[in-house]
Amino acid sequence: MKTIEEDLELQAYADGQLHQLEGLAPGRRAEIERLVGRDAEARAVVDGLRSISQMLRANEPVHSVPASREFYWSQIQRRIQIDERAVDRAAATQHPAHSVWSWRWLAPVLGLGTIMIAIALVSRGDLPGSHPLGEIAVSERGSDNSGAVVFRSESEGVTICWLD
Amino acid sequence: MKFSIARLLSAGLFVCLLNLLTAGGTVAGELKLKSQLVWGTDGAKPESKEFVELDAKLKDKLKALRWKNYWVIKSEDTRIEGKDPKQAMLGKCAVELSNVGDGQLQVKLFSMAADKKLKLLRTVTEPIKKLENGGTLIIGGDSKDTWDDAWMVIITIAH
Repeated sequence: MKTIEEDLELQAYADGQLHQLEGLAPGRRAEIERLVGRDAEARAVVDGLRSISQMLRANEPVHSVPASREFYWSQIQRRIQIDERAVDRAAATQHPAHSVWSWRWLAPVLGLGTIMIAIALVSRGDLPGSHPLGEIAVSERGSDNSGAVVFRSESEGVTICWLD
Repeated sequence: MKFSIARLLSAGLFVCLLNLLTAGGTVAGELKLKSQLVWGTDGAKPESKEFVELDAKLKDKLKALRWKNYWVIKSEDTRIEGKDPKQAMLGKCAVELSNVGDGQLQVKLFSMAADKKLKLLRTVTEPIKKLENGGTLIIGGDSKDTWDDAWMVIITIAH
């Protein structure tokens, strides 16, 4: 009658993994080998386990890829390239070459023109806030620091600064 | 590098346009301004004959103010050139006018104490262009001498 520990040791021995068992006493491997040599039951267990293992390895299903790995990945790469070309063509259709060329020149010209007009208007004082202090500024530098109400009528062209 | 006639013309046009636009904003030469100390009241005409009624056009511009009568107490024309400030004495007050550049007129309002010393009340800036286009700058306040009356300094372009 074998114990559970002896069964586990026989299984490990059959799988060639006896050395991986934890707590295996020195010289135990030799004892198990002797046991398998002299005990028919132990030998039957080991032989049975080995035959099962061989049978499983022999009948392991193999899944084969219909194409080679290189061919398989080249197909994916080609698909990606085709999709990228399609995206480029769509972008080119939306922005024809002459449109890109014209914008390349038109955008800076429009920007420059806008800046020049803004400079001119600001320097002439036609824009609100063209002066650092605004269209009309009430300075607080006066000795009287009380506030003032500012009224401005653009239609009448009148600015009234009413002191408190 | 090739310079085509079209390119040269474009460059010349660009420079001219730039000069035109930037030079247009500067105020060159003199600026004639009229400063008037005005009394706003609902009362009758004062006894002093020196007081004259405010110009009708200017009075029309004071619709935002509520007084019925506006009497000019003192008026003075000032010519400013460059950035040198000029003062206009208006009786109990004075204004210092100066072109501070950037198309702006700076107006400093002073009150005059009994000892003739000037006390700065307020500094106001106004676009010169606005005045040249017929605009009016008014700095005023409630009268401390007479209840419900007002004083104001009106600055316009002198004609």
